[in-house]
Amino acid sequence: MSLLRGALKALGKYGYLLAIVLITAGGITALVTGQWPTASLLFLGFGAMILGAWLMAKVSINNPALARRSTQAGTNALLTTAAILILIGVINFLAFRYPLSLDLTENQQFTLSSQSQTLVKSLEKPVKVWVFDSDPSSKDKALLKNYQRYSGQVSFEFVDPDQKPRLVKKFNVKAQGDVFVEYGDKKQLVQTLISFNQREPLSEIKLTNAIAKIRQARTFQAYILQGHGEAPLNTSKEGLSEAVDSLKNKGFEVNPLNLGEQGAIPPKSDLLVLAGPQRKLLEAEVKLLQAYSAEGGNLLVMVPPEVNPGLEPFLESWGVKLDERTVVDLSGSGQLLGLGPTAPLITHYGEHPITKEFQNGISIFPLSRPIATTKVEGVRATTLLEASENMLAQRELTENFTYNPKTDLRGPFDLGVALERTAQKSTPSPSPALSPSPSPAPNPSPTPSATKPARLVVIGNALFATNEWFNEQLNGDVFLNSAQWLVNREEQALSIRPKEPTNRRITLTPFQASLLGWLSWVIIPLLGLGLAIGAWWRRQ
Amino acid sequence: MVILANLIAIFRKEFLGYFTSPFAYVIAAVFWLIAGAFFGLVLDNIIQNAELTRQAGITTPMDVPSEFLSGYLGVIISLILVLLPALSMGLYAEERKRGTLELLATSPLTNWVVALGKLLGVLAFFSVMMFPLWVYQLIIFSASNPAFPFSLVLCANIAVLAVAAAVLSLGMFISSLTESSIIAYILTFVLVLFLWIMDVFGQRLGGIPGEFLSSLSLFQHYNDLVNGVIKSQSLILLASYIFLGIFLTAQSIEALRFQRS
Repeated sequence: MSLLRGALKALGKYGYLLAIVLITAGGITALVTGQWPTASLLFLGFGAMILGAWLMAKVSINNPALARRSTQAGTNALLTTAAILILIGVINFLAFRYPLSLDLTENQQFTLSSQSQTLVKSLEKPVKVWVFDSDPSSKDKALLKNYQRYSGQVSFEFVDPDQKPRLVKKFNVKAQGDVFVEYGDKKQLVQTLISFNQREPLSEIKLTNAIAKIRQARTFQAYILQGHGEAPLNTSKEGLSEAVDSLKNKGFEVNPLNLGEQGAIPPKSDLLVLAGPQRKLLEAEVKLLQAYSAEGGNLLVMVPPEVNPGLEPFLESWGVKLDERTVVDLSGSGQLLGLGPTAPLITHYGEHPITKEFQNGISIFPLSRPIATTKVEGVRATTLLEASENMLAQRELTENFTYNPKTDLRGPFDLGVALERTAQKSTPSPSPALSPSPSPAPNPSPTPSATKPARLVVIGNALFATNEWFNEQLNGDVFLNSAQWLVNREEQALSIRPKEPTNRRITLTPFQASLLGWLSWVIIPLLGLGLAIGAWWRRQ
Repeated sequence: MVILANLIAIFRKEFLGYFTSPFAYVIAAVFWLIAGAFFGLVLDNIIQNAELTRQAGITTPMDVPSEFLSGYLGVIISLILVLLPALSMGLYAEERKRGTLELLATSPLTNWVVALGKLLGVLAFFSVMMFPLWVYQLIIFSASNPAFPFSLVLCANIAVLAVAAAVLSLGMFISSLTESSIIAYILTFVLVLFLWIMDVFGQRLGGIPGEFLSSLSLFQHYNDLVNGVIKSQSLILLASYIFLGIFLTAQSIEALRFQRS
């Protein structure tokens, strides 16, 4: 008993020392580890509690009548003040670390939707939101802070694009107000906050969906065929290095593929690109492509004019025919860019996910051929690039590009098409009948009894994606959007209901309006003035 | 019981004192004039804005009363922050100047009772100043169609009072340090300004310490409360500032007592 009393007395006397030790320990562990683990918070909490208890004991014992005055009282007062300050600091820090909040607004305007909450809570890796905005809005910041409240994995940064050119380059920021999410080494555009000088708030719907998407998105395997004079992957003028780099930025892994050497298409490939072959592909190779497509593979085929790549059996099954003519642009618009008539400028695009944001932007396709499509059951073909009425496709380029109705084709016709095949059961595959090869394909490729859904983009041009042209106008977007659409199967958005404010108006009656005007402008201020004068009068 | 009686006595003396002071009425008159002008301007602005979007054919829903509440209280707080130090500057400085502070310090009343009574007194006078604004708001929000939740209006106005209490409490402490009301005003104003924009410093600092520092700033907490978001930290922070002001005042008077003895 006396032991306990002694302990209590000691605590009363030296408690503040213990408290200070605990609080320092908590602070140091937090500083060393760089974060706030539970242990250091416990240290801080206990320290604060002991400090509080010690203070209570001090205040109750410290009856001024009993205490010796002067110096001792002075040091005591200083100690008490310091202790109280620390205590308040710790309490506030704990409140800061463990936030609770109550949203009084009707549809929880300032609270994240449950979908966003669960998504953010389930993050295992850090997600960073980058807002490239020189004039950040406090509402956007509040929304991002809300995300942060549910998970330590979310961080955000507002960047002034004019001051951080390196970041702008890294993210390929196109406009003031671009918002990106970064997850691992993947980056994705969420939203552009400023369009046509109109500001829109950062949208929870878009941000949550972008986070969900970037988290799910796996790396896509893309292969670029080589071996028939296709554009190389190097940095030369006719190389594809720009295209390859942009694909890598979008989460693709890109490798060259020489079917003659490897003999098979790697099983995990998501996308196969045939970029401007100059020679005919081997029959066995075409068969491989066909089998690949039947198994649900995606192909991006780009063929320049005056070349026969030998793809007919494959393309026929999709209802696509490579026209042999060369496109001539007679509108003269190419001359504005210093280009000849064989470099058509496309400004008309089909209604398709690939081109939906292009509106009437320009893309340039030097040396192109038209692509003809016929209807095939189970295949949906959509125009991507549409030649204008001022364009011709000529079999033999005449000197003045005069139109010969017998051999020439007049616009509009297609320069590029996107095709999508739904799953089919046992279509009579035309390939074995048409090309009975003496030796069956080297790899075991059984004639597919059923074809899986697959996608194909055919463009009658190969130069537009090369380094020389890739960064011109919308060329790069045509290529990238095509690649992304090809590998992108289903993109289901989380159904988050937008939180719209309740529609309310203030409808004052004329009486109310004039009452308010008189009260606020005249009566109340005059009343104050009158009272002031009255009080002054009385003082005199 | 005695403590309560003392508290009420101090409160009454302080509160009623304002009603015989021409200076307090001048402050009130200025406040009412500017606040009334802001009221009309903000209201016209928001109603016109709503009308313009309607004419432009934009049909996105718009909560005019809610925008008015956050808009008006967002503007009025800057005026209040300028005026509050003027109310708190004389709380102790005047007593010191008149030489009545020794009386107060050596009286049998506990220092913190005196401080609390004075704070309640000045807060009550501030509420009187706010009263016309409450009447205006009552008229406005009763004219809302459909009805606007009263809880939001209440929460926002309590936020104004809570921020005022925190500022007055800290101002009272500063007033207890000096004999000159002017110095007390300037120091309090600088402190309030600092508390208001502290989040800027915190952002510069970065990291968790920086975030913590910004979270001690009154600005964001006030905005949250006016918008109807009650965070535990806002309540704790405001209570901390109020308590700190009273505690430090009591300590500073205590120190005075020992100095003189």
